Amino acid sequence: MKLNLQINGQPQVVEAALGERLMDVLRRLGYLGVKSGGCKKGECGACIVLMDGKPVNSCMFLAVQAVGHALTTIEGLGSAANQGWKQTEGLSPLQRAFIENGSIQCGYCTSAMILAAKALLERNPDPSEEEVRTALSGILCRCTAYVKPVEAVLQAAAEMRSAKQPGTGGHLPETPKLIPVDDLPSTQVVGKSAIKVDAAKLAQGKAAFTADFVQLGTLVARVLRSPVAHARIVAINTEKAKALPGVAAVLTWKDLPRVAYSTAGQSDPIPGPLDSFSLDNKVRFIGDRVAFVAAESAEIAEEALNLIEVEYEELPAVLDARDAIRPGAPVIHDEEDYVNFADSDPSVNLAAKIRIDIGNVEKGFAEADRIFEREYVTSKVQQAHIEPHVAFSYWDPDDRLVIVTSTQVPFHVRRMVAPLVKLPVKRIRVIKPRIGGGFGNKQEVLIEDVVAHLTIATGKPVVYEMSREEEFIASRSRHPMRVKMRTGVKLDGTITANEMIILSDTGAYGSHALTVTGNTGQKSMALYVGDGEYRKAPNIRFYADIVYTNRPPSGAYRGYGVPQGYWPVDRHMETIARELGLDPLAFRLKNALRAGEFQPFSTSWNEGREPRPEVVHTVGLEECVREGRAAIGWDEKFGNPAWHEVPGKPHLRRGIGAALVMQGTAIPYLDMGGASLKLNDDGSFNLLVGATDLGTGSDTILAQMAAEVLGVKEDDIIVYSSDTDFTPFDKGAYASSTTYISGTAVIKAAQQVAEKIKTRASAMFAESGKPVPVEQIVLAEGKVHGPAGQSFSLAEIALNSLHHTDQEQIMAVASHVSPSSPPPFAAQFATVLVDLQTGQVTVEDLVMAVDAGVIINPRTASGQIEGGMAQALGYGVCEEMVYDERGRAREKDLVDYHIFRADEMPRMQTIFIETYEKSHPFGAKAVAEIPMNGVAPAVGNAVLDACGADILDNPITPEKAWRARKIKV
Amino acid sequence: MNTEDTRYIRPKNLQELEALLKQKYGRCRILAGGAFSPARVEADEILIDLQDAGLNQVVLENDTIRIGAAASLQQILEGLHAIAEIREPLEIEAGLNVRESLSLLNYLRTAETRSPFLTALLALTPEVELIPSGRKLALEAFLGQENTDSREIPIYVNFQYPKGFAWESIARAPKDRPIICVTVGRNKSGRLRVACGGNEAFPRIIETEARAEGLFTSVRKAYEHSADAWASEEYRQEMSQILLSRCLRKLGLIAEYQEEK
Repeated sequence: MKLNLQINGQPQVVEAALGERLMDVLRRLGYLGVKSGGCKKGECGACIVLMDGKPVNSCMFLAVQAVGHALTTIEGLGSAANQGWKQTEGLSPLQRAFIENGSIQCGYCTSAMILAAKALLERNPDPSEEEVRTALSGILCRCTAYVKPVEAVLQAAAEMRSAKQPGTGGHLPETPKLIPVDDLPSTQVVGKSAIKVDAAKLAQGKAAFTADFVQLGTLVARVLRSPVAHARIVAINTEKAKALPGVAAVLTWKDLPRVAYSTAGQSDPIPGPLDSFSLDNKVRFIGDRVAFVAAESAEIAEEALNLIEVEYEELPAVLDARDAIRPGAPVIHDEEDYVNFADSDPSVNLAAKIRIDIGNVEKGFAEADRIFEREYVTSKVQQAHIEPHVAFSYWDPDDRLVIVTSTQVPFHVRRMVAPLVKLPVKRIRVIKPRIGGGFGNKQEVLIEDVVAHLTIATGKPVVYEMSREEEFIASRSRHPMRVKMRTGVKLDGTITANEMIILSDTGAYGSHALTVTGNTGQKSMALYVGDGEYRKAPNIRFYADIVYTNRPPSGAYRGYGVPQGYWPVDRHMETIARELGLDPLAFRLKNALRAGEFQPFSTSWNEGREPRPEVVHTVGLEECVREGRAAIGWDEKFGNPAWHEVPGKPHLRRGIGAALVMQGTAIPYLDMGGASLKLNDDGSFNLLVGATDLGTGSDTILAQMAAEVLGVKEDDIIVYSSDTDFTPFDKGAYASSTTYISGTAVIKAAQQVAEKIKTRASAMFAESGKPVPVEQIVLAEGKVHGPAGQSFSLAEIALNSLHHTDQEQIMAVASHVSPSSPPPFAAQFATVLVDLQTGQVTVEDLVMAVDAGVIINPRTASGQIEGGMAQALGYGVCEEMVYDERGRAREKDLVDYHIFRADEMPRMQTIFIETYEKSHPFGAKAVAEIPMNGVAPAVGNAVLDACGADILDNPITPEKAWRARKIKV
Repeated sequence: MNTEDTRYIRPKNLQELEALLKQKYGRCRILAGGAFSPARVEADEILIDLQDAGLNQVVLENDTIRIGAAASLQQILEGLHAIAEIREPLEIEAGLNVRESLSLLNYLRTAETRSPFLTALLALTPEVELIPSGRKLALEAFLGQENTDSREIPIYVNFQYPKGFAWESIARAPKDRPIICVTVGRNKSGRLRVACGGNEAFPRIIETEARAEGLFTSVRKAYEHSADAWASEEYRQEMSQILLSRCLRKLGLIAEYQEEK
């Protein structure tokens, strides 16, 4: 049918099916700022358009319902001012504000936020913060904690009210509080809050994400998923599905090569068992793969799924990790072609095992005055990135398989998919467009093999986007753990021995089983080494069994095991301090790791490889505590009964808590990043990196570091990331490594290019009669400078090198692998309000003071901290994936799985305490993962402080707090 | 309105709508704003879109509030601004854009026991007005009965402007769907009606005239066998007493019921 739609002020006659959704029609027409969150029922708000000026979810409307209404998409707001010879009115104040203040991280929800803000400002030009938060309340953002988007709307409103002068650039809000390190070399670009290199396109809703590049006519894939937790597929009949008109292929385990692999996107060799198959004759959890379908439309593909007849022989299921290791437990991986790694033993459902003893633990316990022993539980939680997993593939004219995918690990995808589809690596090309959030869940090869198999089967392009429900039941999540803590302490607060025993549930497959859990101990148990003699020779034990169950697989999630460690470790430290009557902050600092000491685990553990002892050189923990306690008002609140009470509300009680945490920065001797840099005619540079910016701002800080070395502005660096055909290898975005590893590779490449520029400049100076030795040439302000004021622009250098004399392409390729993993540190503070009658906990303030080395870009770095704290807050109080007695998930959408909205956030503050980490050229450490670690225990400690509720398993739900509270009214 | 497909119809008023419903079509689906349900239109299906039928209003007529079936949740929030306590459950129910998208009719099709606005609404003794039958029935009787191929559709939800209304809930986060919510509506004659959300499929209702025992006891009993993955029966029962107390305190009625508690 033909529909008369009015879009962005223009009437359009649109061909659409009666049942076609407005979202799909708009995207088909090229309005790509309208995003799909995979739900099609209004859960995330990424698909917002304005209908007669009001924000509505376009996934909830049929296109035909929009007839007669004025629609506005992000494409109707503004565009880049300079379009060659054509000048436009430029970006709207809202778009500019979002760009300038760092509101855009992954950018997937940016269009929706800007549109919602536009609707607000048109009816209320002077909104309060609360009104802005209400306006954004239906748009879920997993990156920003809404801090900067709210500021951006207020900033744009101010500009629109007062100046009404578009193009002024607005007012940049203050960057987060930053305590700089003394005597840092002066920098021009590094350390500044540069605007993100990719922000403008995201503020305009331009094609950036994988789904934006799918061509019309691409077949649509769907996956039939298991309805039972554990079963053999006795029979599977696809005839009816294949016979359905429009179906191009139906694949089952019988059709595909049987290749054991791990879905974990990690370096070779994968540090875990090979226990997965693209399709198998056995299913191991509800949501496991049974068959693939490719069809001409999603509706046909879904109908075909219903026509596949499967006969299951149900097997006993194991749904609790404690049951998995009991004698006689059902064996989940009984396949003969299972490939062991290290101590994995599928016959007893063991995916991995870790046994680490540092020092003499039993002696340490024997020397303790008190031994504290408790068991803690951490929950299974989901990454909940707003862009679902999405990939498409096609054969290129050279019969190479091209996979375009929203992945954190394009090079691992290429290497890992190759054997599954029986192609050599050289015949596979993986392209990673913009990523709409990943948080570790896209460090898995979860969908690329699906489209690859279907393209091979059909010879045609195939796209697969997971639904929101599939994200919950069939992607990955944080490993839930049961953690036994045992700590020996002297009465003066000296820790003499510390022990952590873990039972970790990896679910049906062992992706990241060993390394996540290893990280749990390595990054949390390393923080407290003891004091005095114990500091010199810490006594630490870390044992873990990581077991299979018939629940959905766990995997990588921002923090990578460390949040599971700090919930028990820091809750335990709080308990010990209170039991011994010690100041909780002083007790922690007394026993915490200090600069110049060995990372204790580096002497005993290296993810299954040979340990390499490593000294920690920078620890800003004391300064973090000092600044954080001042910001939260610790000294006025802690131990002050008056502050804890709420006047006129005896059923409410305030509490304050803290947690100290650390993380790592990359994996030493393993993580490698590469960069390629070349000079262009105009003095600009192309920087090609394999690193993947999943919203963190890494493309921007890589450009900043290159610009600093080359003496140019960051917008003279054109960053491209990533394409396995063109960009150098990078292991991908994980382990908090991009700034440190990929960044150093970029700096090395830039240094090589700078030397070549100087060499050529020296020759040019000589030719001009004013010779300057190379070592006296300086790069600054887009030029090369000699000591006497002589200079050439980089454009002159480029033209000389490319066109005039001894022609050469000035370029360099460099890579970097680090022998160290310098830990960032942080002090996390929280205040809460507890309802003593109901147990309801409201988190009021979160303050995080972070030592992440030198901060390359304070605005993007603070965005990382804010967004991480918001995710961690969910981990602390409301996020949890629960399964019934048959293994069915309670959480299948973003309604039951609650992630915080803009209109319910606590106050947040970020403080950076800079230290200079000498192993990085600019002194940087990592910032991306550490905010995940401290919020939950700090909130737990604050709840304890408020009402005596000592909760050992997270999240802290109202019922748990109610049952555990000691103060009752 | 210009579409070529005759399977899509926008009646201009109630009379047209009524006439359409009396005609003999194959399958018939009512569209009212945005929907949570997946869109799939069968070949023999007729879509009747209520957006022009005059049902997207919230009006007060002679002390009766009439909410049109096509009114959005945001229109309801704005239209009921005088009942201050109803704002919070609507805001918890969904963010602004979903409230702008979702009509009352579609909301009622998907609401369940933990839905805060449904619990709030039920305390106001709402009545559903249906056409073409002209039937009126209590909202609680309507819930769960309507199917998408109904020829008898709700056009209004009506209730008397309350003398008092109070809402209380408990959730894991301020805008999370409640684990338990209790609302108390008080009509002109002073009669109380309590809606207890967070148990079974739909909120339970207790009316002061109908109860055979104390109000607190009745509310506690409403949460018998309410254990699920969100909370235990014991917790919900205990909390029901707390939340009821708070509601009654807001209404200035706690002294009246304190003794029986």
